[in-house]
Amino acid sequence: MSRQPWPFLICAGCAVLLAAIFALCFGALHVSVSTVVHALFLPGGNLDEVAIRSLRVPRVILAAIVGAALAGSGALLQGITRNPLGSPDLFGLLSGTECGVVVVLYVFGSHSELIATLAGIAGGALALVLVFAIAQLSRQSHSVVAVAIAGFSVGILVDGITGILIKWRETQYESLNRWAEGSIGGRDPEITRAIVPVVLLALAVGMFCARQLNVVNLGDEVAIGLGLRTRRLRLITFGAVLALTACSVTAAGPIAFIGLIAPHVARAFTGPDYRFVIPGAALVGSAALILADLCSRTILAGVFDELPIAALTSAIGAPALLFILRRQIRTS
Amino acid sequence: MKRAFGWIVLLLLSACLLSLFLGEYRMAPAMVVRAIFSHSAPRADRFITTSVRIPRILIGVLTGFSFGVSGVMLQSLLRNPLADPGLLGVNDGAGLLVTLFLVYFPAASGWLLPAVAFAGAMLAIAALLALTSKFAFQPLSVLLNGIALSLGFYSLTKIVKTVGDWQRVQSAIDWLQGNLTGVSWPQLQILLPWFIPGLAAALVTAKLLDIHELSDDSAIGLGARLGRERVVVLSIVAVLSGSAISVTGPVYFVGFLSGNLAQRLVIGSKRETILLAGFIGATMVVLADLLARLLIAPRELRLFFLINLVGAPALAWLLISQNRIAKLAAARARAHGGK
Repeated sequence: MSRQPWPFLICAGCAVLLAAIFALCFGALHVSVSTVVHALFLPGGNLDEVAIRSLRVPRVILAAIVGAALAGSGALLQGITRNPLGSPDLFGLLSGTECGVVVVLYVFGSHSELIATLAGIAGGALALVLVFAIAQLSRQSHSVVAVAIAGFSVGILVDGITGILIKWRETQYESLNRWAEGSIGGRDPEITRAIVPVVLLALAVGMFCARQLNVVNLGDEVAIGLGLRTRRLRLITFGAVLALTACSVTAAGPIAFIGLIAPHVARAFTGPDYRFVIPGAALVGSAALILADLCSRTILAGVFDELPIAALTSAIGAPALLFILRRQIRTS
Repeated sequence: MKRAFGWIVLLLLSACLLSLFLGEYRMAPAMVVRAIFSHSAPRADRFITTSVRIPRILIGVLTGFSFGVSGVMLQSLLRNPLADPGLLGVNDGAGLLVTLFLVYFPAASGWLLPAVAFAGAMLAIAALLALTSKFAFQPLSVLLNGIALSLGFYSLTKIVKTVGDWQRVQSAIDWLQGNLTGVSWPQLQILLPWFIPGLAAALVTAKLLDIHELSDDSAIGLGARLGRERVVVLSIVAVLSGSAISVTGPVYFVGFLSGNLAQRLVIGSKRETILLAGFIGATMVVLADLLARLLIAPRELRLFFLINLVGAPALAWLLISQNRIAKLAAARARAHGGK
């Protein structure tokens, strides 16, 4: 495939916009594009416009930002570990973050989203350390599949703890259950406002590292020979990854597979240059999550409950993972 | 060898007795015994022991046995110590079909459930083989493919649960929680006609596995008809784990843990390993179920979370000691060669 990063980025940007317009128009109530434009740019207006402004717009923004955060975190992980299976979910990061958030919000009963996010970062960092310790001890830290299995086992372990905690504090079960399944419906707009700057900042940090990630992908020896400080780069990148994952989990619960697949989709068009892969992945992730959310709202309009978005993303993501595995084994 | 059997059976018996005597509903041991054997005991006591605890223990034993046996069979057939019906997607394949069945054919009888679960298990096994056969069944890759398959089946199940009619979904959720809450004699009756033939067939075919475990070439040289025998063994696995799933819902790691333990404890014929793994699996499920009932009583945990807490570190440990796995396989091959 010919590599044309700029046209791809522009197309992906347009796709995000289109997806957002679709998502604003359709739902339990279908409205025309002109109503949406009115709602967005003119104050006041009729009931439809107010509903769109206060209900759908925050939701679409949340979907876009969570998608970008997950995809960006996946792209950075794949870059720094040189592992095509790198993603918050397969590396146990999503589970660790979720566990941290659950502990703070539901065991200690804190109501602060900030503390929850920090706990999420701590949980995610712990999970990452465990995963890489296991991979290192097995002397297979360069084996693509072994790291993923290490991540899987850490993820399962942490999920077990989370499950027990959730069951233990059953009083808040309903709301917690909804969040823990990965869903972006009915969230407080304050959360969106809080995470947007953090996600953008972390993505910017990632972009700042992109050139060095390119060097790392030439191999450790080359990177060190070219004078790259790999340890510092690792710290910064993992910091950005943790922040991105923690923001997305606090806002929307664990949503699987966007972080794995969006970078692969982007890379297929942009080639291996991380200066393009990172923004490309973020745009693809945004568009994908907006559309997934739209599907989960509309396929089931009128049914008592919405489909948790994570179920949708994993139904699509699992076959994609199989595909990536096949290709990976064939090339190795 | 004999000693290992003795200890495990003793452990299983004590786990069963503990589950019989302990619980949220407190009864003195003497009362329990009286409730079982005497008609003059209070009705509540009689109900709790004979209709709740005893069938629940028996079902725990049978399902654990099934998981353990299918774990060993998968491990030696695929020559992969990481194999487990849950991790390879068999459980979730069965779970998907059972959920579909419960949601869309609620009128059909419970007797059909194990058959449906069996079909789902076969579906998952076929998919896994189709995906991995080209790559010579590399242990880690097979496992990761299985994990991806099971995630896929699981999310489809979730979608079915969201799309389906609410009340029917509720019954499916009650059924497939991954624990033994609310099982009683009817479930045991459903399970038995699958368990007994399945176990018998497993013991009969155990000899085949001794040969399959060597390598494709030696197995063919010894006269094994690889393709046909693989299908037979995998169907037995599907019968055992499928029927167990249709009662417990998806449970992971039991086959993985008990298979590996049994292989370490016994260097003998496959038949003995299979039996031992069955007993270990049964002990694990009964113990985990006891803990699930007691830890946060009066509520119940999902038993598979507890098993995961043991299984996941074990998986990580096995990954770390992969070199040792290779050595173990070599030792096993030597042991067979020397016989």
